[in-house]
Amino acid sequence: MTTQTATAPRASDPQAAPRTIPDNQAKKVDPAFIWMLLPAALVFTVLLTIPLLTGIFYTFTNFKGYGDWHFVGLTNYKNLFTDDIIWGSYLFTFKYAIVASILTNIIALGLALVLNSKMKARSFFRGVFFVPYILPVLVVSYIFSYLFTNNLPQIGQALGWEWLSTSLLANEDLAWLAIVVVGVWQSVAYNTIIYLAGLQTVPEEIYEASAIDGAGPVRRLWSMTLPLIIPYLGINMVLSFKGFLGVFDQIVALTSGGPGTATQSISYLIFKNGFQGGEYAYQTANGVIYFLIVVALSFAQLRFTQSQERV
Amino acid sequence: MTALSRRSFLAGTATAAALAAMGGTLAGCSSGDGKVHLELFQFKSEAIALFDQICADFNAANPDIVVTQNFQADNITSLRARLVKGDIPDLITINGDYNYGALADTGIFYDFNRTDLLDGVNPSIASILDTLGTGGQGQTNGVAFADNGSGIIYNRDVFDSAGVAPPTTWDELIEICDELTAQGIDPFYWAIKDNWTGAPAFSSLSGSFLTDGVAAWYDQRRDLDSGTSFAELTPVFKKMHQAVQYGNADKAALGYNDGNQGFAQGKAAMYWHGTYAIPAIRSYNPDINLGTFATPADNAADTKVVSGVDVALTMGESPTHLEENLRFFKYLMDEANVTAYCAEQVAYPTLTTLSAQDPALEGLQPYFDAGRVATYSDHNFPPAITLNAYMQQYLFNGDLDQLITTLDTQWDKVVRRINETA
Repeated sequence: MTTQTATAPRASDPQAAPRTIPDNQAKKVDPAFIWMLLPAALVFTVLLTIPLLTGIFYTFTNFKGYGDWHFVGLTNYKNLFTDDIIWGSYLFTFKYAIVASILTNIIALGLALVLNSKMKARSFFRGVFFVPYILPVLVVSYIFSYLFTNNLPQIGQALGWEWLSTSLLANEDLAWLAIVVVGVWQSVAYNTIIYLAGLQTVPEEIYEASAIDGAGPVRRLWSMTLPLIIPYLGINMVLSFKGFLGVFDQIVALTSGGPGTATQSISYLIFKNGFQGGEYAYQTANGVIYFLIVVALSFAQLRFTQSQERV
Repeated sequence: MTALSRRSFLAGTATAAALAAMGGTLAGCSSGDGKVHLELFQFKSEAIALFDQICADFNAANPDIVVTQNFQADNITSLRARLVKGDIPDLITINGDYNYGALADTGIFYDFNRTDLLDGVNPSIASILDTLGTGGQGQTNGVAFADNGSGIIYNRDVFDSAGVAPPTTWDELIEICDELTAQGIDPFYWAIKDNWTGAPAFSSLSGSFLTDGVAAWYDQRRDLDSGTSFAELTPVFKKMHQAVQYGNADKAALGYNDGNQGFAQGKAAMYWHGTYAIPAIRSYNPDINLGTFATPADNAADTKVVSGVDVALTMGESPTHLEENLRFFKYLMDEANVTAYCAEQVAYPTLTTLSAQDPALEGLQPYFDAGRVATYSDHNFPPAITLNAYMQQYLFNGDLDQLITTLDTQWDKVVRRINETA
């Protein structure tokens, strides 16, 4: 692997030396750029910003999604904070997201290290491990639902394990673990790809240097590889955590929020009670809070991982 | 030909975009054949062919009207979307549940008491719709077209071979269960992985238990200062739990469709569902010999059939083509059409002059004739209370105190919330 470093500055026209512009004078922008930006800005505003603001507006009303409405002030928000169903869904979602993100990243990093090593049929295995990401979540979930309902209990009975001899999905305390398994199985593939991309950026020379210094493989992983791919770890953590916070498809296919209300995630609750339960405004308020939490957490995570970068 | 300048190109695209935006609003229902075009908003996927036939016959008999069926599976959601746009369909079929009541309460439906459409309809059935919701005092906002009944479905062949007969009291039912168990037959077939499958038992038990009327009890419960509690329904919950013990071992792992299939294969004697399940059971085994009996109360005189309006007809509160709409509904409520629909869909006709012909429906017909029907208990719960989930939890763990506490707190919370923002 050779790295080309362009040391000499590009030959540039000496006439085109940058003119300094006084601070009090705005830089003139070529109108062409504005015309290029305009459609994107327009589409973004019409399809995202306006609906978001409309939704926020309706959280201060008793709107059912149709018919008459009137303002109710902050009643929806006040009720949100005293609603144990909402709290329960937040608790479940965070528990799920934390456990699933950690598991996903550990497994994905391990896989990426294996797939990055010099082995036979490397491309073939990379392809195989990417397959789960291509399959639709619903299809995967229905297949897993079948396995959890029919095959796993048989294995559990054969082993004589009480907790596995009935369907995990019908078990109030363990159903969330079944959803974690499906979520992790599905999302490992994508994170593995990002880690592989990260590992490509680690130059070979530092390994040679550390080998001369007598570092073993574990030391090399801990002191060389990991610090160098911290940005990728950060991105992966943020992306997978955000993704898991929005868990929806798996729940529809596996448990519909059950048994009881044990696996109602935030997005499932917003969908179910907002659209089918006629609580449009109330659940939109829930959506607003949820949005703010996701934004705050993503920023916090990014700041944290950026502070760990030392290259 | 002028060269395309940037300015003219941009002007051109702007015009095109504006035209495209306007084009969406230009699609009206005006067609130049001088006929009145009506849309029938229909939600039952099993009945598409039949309604197409009915529409075709009607159009042939009424050359000035063209009725077209528009099938919508998730009809409530799409109906709400249409309401947001202020575009209410001409003719609507709708299921008589909580959603119907919520929509009717907002006063968007026509009052059919102003018409003669309700004349032939069994009054005890017609009034079920009124208990769900009305646009105003004394209104009836839907015409009951077909009904379901919720009791217990049983496999006649299994009953005969075991030598038992349909019970008339709860104690008899338990005796039968013990008898069947002794013979190595599963009395009930349960499939409670789908959480709503416990609700039919709850509804049919409370229909007989709340002798002063189901809707009346819930009205009282809605008054949060009345001191009413779900603890009053304790006997109902206890019976549910008792019956679940007489079931198949794999009940927690089976969903509704698995349940239909297993029962069709003769895996148990009884199946606690409404008549809506019969077509599905028969689809797995057309030759199965089914019967129904009403969920027995402690005292046979109190036994009622819980019934809901499977299909109600309704229309907007001020329809564009009132006379034509009524003409179509009149045609639909004709004995021949009601009979055809009920025979195909295994439903109970709502006209007093008709009774169900299907042998599987015989068992409940006397209750309809005598007006001994009650409304579904679970239709009284605002959907924000996930009743089915709590029922399922209770059937799994049998914790009655937890169920009552949960129902009471959730009910109070949601009803208070609804009142606050009403």
